[in-house]
Amino acid sequence: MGGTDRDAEFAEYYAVRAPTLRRLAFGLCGNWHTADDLVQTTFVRLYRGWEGIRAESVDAYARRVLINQFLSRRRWWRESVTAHPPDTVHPTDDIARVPERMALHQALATLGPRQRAAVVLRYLEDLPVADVATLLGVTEGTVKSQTARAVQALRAALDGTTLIANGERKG
Amino acid sequence: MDESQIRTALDGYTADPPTVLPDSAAVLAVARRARRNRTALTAGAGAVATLIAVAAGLAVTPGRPGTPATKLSPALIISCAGQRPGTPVQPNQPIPDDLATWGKSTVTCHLKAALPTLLPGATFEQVQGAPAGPLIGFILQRPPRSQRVETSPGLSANSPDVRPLNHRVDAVSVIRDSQGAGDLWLMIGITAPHEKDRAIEQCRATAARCTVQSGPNGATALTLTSTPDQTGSYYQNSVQVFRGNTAIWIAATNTDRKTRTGSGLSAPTRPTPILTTDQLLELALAPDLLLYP
Repeated sequence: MGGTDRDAEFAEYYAVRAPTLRRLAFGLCGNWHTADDLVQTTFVRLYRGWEGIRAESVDAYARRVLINQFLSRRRWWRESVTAHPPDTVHPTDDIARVPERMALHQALATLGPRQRAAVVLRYLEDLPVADVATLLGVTEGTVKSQTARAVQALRAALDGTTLIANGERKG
Repeated sequence: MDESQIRTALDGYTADPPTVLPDSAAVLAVARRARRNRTALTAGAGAVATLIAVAAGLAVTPGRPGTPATKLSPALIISCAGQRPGTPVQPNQPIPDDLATWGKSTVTCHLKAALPTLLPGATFEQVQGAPAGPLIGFILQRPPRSQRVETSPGLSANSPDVRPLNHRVDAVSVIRDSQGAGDLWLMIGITAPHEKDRAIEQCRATAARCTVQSGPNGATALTLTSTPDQTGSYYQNSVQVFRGNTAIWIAATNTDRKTRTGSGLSAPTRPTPILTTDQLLELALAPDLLLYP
């Protein structure tokens, strides 16, 4: 495969998948700038091994790279999810949605990185427990217990009305 | 709270990002460069010194805090308004059109996101005579003196208002909350040579009212605390921050600039300025407002 074909394929994949990966990254870190960094680093790594990645596994590979980036940043750079990052509220926000966004942001910030990854992969990405376990390199039982604890923590941190209001709006 | 509610909440939480991702060409360029660097790394011991030099060069390239080296290229600086154009700029020269558009959009979207968080419940109104609405970035094009927005006093001789007008982005707003109204004035320009040193010198000469402090990522912040205006009309807090090639000046007062005293001066319409110096500093140090790295 020539460089031009390779680059065209890569660019096409970026255009299609980057927004989704960005949402996943934001769910993990809670900061859009950091999310953008995670996504770009992920694509830089994808490009490095692009020829060797099978088409059917590229999505899973991209997710794995992104998750690993997130977890390693948390581990080595001691980055932390702040309770009030500057981009918690942004220009496209409907003012009525700000409180629920803030509440969820703060609730997620109370979770450990692996707990947060588990709950985001499970409920935002809608991945089966087995896939989450593979991505995080843990057993399915561990995913189930981490997810359960995360949901419990979210439930404790959020007052019910926030999510009920959100559910009603969506519905 | 059941699983479907968690899904719905996460879906809403991650929707509508405030910034635009760099386009595929930009990411492809970074990826190619990173790949070349990695290839060089494995080429042999002789390449190590070269790579260290490259890495060092990337490491000192201005960028947002916490970004990896491959992200530090100026071509990939993004704000809430999207990717920054790479057009070069010079001190005391008009801002190139593409950078001006990006700068104005960046200031607008950042302030519109940040101010409601800093001042929950506050409302924003256009300053009388201002060329743009509240919190909207604009560039003054040397208007006749009679049409200029009233200048805030504060950093006196050091005020950025004495610099050329069309090399900087401004934003102004009257802000009203339960305690009354005050105004906000933001100016972001390119630093001139020795400007920071002169500002620090003048700040230190202003005695206790002005303090110099170091901020993150090599920023220097000058803070002028609230004091009564000499005429007894209103109060003002202001900060001036130097970061990279960017000079940011923000001031907040306790006047709406419409209400006048008996002697015709702007009258206080609030007990204290609408923003504290800490809040102004938080605004000035925001990564998005680093228009000139």
